[in-house]
Amino acid sequence: MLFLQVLIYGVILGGVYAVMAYGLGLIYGVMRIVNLAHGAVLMLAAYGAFVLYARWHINPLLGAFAIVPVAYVLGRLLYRHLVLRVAAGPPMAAMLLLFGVGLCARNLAYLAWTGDDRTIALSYGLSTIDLGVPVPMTRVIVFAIALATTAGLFLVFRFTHFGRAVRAVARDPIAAELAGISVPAMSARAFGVGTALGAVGGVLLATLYVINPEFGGPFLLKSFCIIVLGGMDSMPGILAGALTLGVAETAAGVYGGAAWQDLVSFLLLVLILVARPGGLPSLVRS
Amino acid sequence: MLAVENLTKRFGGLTAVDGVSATFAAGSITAIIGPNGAGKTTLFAMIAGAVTPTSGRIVFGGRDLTGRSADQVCRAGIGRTFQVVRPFWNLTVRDHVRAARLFGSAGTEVPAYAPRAEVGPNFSLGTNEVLDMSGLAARADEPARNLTLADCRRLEIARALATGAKLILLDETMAGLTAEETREAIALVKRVRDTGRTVILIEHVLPAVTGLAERALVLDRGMVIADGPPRDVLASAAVKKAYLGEE
Amino acid sequence: MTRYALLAAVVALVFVPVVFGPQASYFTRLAVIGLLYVACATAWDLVGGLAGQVSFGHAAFFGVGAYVTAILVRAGVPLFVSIPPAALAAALYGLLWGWPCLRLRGPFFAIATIGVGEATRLAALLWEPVTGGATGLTLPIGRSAPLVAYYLALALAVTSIATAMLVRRSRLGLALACVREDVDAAESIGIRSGWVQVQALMISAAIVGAAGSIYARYLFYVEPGDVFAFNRSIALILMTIIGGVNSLWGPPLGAVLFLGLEQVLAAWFPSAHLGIYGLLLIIMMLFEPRGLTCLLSRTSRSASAA
Repeated sequence: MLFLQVLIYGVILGGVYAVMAYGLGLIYGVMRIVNLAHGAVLMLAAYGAFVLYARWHINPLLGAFAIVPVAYVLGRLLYRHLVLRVAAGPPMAAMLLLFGVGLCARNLAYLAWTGDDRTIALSYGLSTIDLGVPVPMTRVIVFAIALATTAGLFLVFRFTHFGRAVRAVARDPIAAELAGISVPAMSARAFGVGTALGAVGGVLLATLYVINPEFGGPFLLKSFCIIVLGGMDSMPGILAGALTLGVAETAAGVYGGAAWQDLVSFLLLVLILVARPGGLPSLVRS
Repeated sequence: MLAVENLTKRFGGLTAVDGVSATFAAGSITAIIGPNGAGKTTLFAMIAGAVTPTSGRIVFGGRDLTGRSADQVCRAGIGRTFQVVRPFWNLTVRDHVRAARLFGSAGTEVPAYAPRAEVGPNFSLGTNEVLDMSGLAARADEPARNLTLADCRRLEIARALATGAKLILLDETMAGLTAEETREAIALVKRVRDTGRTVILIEHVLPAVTGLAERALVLDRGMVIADGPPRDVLASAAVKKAYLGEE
Repeated sequence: MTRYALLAAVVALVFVPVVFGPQASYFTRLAVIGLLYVACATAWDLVGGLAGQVSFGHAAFFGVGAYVTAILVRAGVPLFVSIPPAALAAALYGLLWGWPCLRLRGPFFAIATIGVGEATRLAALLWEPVTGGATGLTLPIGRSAPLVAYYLALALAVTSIATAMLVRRSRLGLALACVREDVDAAESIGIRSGWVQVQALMISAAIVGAAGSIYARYLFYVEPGDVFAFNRSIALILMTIIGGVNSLWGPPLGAVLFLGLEQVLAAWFPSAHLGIYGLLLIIMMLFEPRGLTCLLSRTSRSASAA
């Protein structure tokens, strides 16, 4: 029974984690840049959801429709005015720049909302659905949205021009350029979409966790863990990695205690980086 | 000097090198030619220790080097250049040569924290000798990023030489050079061979192949399809078909 | 910098506390922190600048050194005796995770170090019987502590710079430079890239561990949220970037500037630390990612060319 509970909760968590990590994976896949500002994106989106909820009582899951486009625009602006200028240099320069952006965002959050914890208490907060084990309604709805997002992404990547262009650039930028795809334009769009996806993740996480300016940090690390597990630029890999982390974390929390829960993502990250940098896909291939 | 036995490399579903066997005599110059994707660079990578063979053996000077790492292979006496030049961009020419002398097969007796000292005998060359031989003496104190492509290729050869290597693998050294530069490069490779070293070169530039090599090995789709004096090999029907396709 | 100027500076630093007297505790406090910063930034640069592997997790070494000293001193070991084991412990810790992680290139190594740094902090929080958990460990107070800490910090800073100088001039330094430029090409000339990088990390770790050791004795208190703080690792990166990566005098310069910046921020913009550091990083990356010393040499070159 406990095992079933771990499995179900783990998968639900994993689904949300996947949405959280897609944006990071997309940006890395297209530009080979690790977006260290990703945590800030999650955090700001979470605060956005909170503000909409606290001020105007808008359900955050609806509020996402406002937050996500804003995130897309901000992402493109960030790319065009800052990232682009360092994209040609050593990869660490872009990473450190984005890290700096993340620091600024955190400071802004402290100034705007102080370090106090904020929560979003949804109306269906305590009701549960019985899936063999009682699962809070909030989690079920959030998981459904995560599933829908994943499905949507899958469709976009398979059937739209944008999706195919992204996959081409991720595979081989030079060949993509030769095939007529403008890599700089794709990069800008990918950065925007990556930020928007991060915003979706942030909103979802905001309904489940306590929000404060340090919100982004642990989730950024978990996002790294997931994309490394997932082979860095493969969307199905990211989903698999997210599910793995979700289940592993839940299991650690249940069998080991809250402290082990946090440790799991770090340990997994270092372990995979060291043992199999290709992530789960490389395990499957060999 | 060098013998590869049934060397094979598979990457997932793709077999890049398929059961290649060959021996290379000391002091010889052999060219490895073949269409793109034939597995030439992969073969080099295996010999140089950058890639582990899926199966097969590499025997150098009587020692089994199969599966050894790149730095171990270098210390055993094999040096290489890269298809796309990879110098140490921010280091000077002189530093390239010094580093190669310190860490290559000639430098193994020097203790770890010694200041950058000059080292001795036995297939090893002095820094200035290497610089003179490769024609880089005038540019010795310039960083690699200021060099032309031709000079970068010279630098890579100088670097490989300076390690004290007895066998040098040259990967498309003539690519992208003008006619004049190609002539100079050919002369340099001849000087290298004249020091008693063995040379194996991958080349697409045919004058280099015919002008330098005593023997040509043709690779196509990972397998050796011809082996002999360059002129004969280039005239053979099988080789023509590999390069040009069916008539 | 001429040898004499350097010697004069060191001598001055040795005698300053005597001149100012033990009452100048603000100065002493600042000086101890500043000298430890100089030592740590210089040590960090051996890995981040010379070896070219940016580490976001150096606080782990600082903390290990601090805790080892705390534990030993509480058990009755004198401070001086506790410093070498602290440094050694940090170096061994560096060997432990450095050996597998240094094989990773660039951004991946950086991410791994974030993981290691944070995992170390969490481990310290959890391992209560040894580390005292979140409440940390207190050390017995000594009367002359600030002065002792000052001279120890000065000695460490000098040692750190001297070590960096030696390494840069040695065979190891040349090997690290080659590895930084191109790992595969370095291996093709016989350099054991992994081992060479690990050596740099161990030396760096030992110095930072010793700094943690001195810090512990100076503060009389170690707790995970302080010594293992991610912000410490970030500070090291900032110091070196500001002052100049991969140079001998860049990190010390950056350390001193950062110290000044910290004080200014604490006095006038206490709630803008993160934002200012962030802006600094952004500006540096946009205009001169290699730091002030590079900027200065660039402008002096163009000035003399004019």
